[in-house]
Amino acid sequence: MMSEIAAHVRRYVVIGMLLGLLLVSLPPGLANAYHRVTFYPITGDLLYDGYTFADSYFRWDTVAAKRTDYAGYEHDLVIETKLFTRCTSYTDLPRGYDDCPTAGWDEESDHEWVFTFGSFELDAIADYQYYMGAWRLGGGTSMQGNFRLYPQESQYIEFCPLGPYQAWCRKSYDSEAPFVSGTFYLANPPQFFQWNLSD
Amino acid sequence: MLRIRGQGRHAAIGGAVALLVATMGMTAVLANPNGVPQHQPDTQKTASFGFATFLSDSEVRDLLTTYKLEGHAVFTWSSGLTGVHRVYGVEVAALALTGGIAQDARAASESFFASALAGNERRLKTFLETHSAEGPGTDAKLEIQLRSLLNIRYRLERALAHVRAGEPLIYGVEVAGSPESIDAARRDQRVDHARVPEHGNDENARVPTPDKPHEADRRIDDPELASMSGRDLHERAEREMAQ
Repeated sequence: MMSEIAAHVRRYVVIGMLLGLLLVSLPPGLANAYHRVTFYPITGDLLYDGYTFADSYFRWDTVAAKRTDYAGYEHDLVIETKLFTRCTSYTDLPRGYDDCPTAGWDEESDHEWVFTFGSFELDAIADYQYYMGAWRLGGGTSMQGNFRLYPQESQYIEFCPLGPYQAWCRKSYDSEAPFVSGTFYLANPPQFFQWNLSD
Repeated sequence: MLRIRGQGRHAAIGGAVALLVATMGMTAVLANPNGVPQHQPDTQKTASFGFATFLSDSEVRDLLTTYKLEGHAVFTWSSGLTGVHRVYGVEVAALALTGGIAQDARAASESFFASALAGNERRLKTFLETHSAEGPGTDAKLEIQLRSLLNIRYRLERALAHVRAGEPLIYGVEVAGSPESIDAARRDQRVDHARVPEHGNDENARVPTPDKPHEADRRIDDPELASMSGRDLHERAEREMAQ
């Protein structure tokens, strides 16, 4: 009798270990198929009006930082350098900021400008809720050209004297592929791009 | 004769000034074909000034013209929307003559919020086409999504109304000017704090942004939406899209 019980226990332990191994080895996307935990919005879109304006709506399933130390989120629109003379940007992200001032200053490529908005506090972002941000660029050939939109997690640079709620006191991690990329065509019908990383 | 000569002289002076301005403009364009922000001459310094509260356009214009500062950017907030408006290259000089960057930001913001409302309408219509009232009525996630889309609409409508009503938007400016001008302006009673580039004014110098007033960290939601059920939200969205 005791040996039968021991055999059952051993069997269940082995099954349990195998199931554990299976779960551990699953790709993160499959393991969280219905509930993705990410620092970046799991789904969203980008709408270009064909002239000077583009906006983006996006939402998280479950938001969580990869890193600590005042983790934040950045939504970066990279556009080929054109004859911009004006930039206006707004976002409704909590603890939000807009980074039009840094466009093109010391990015890696001098052929592109980066227009960013973001939140200094990833923790302040709510699950399932839509947020938005947008850009209006003026002058020259406006927004025509190749673009890509990608997410970054930002982090406070320790001991930076201006504190965590200052764009210049943060570093970002280019850790994800672009959500969407393509070409904006000027004076054409509006263009709509979407991403959905929940599957 | 004298009058004609006088007019001729004025015309000549006007022509010379126009030529000079055009030459300066062309030089600026040729030197900066992409409108990429250029570093300031050695005699120019950059800084940003934060205000304790929001300033009207005329107060910002007065601050810039009093201290002979070029406005490069203004930092804005309205109805839960944080923003910035920046001008580049030759546009800076054009607006510097009048200190007009605040009015420029208002015009740009008005156009911005109008476009953003059209964008919001598209998302709401897509939601309504995709989900019947049953969706947000039974699925808490869809209810949250729809409520947030309507709250975004509320913020954008309020912001557009504020901009059109001339309500103060600006809580900070980024400027360039002589060291004396910058020093004098930072002591102005309207200026709460000043930020200067950490590493001088070389071409990679970045000007830290001014701090937002505490009131600009408020979340602005439509109070009516908070207690609405998913079905009520759906009905409200349908009503708004039908208008």
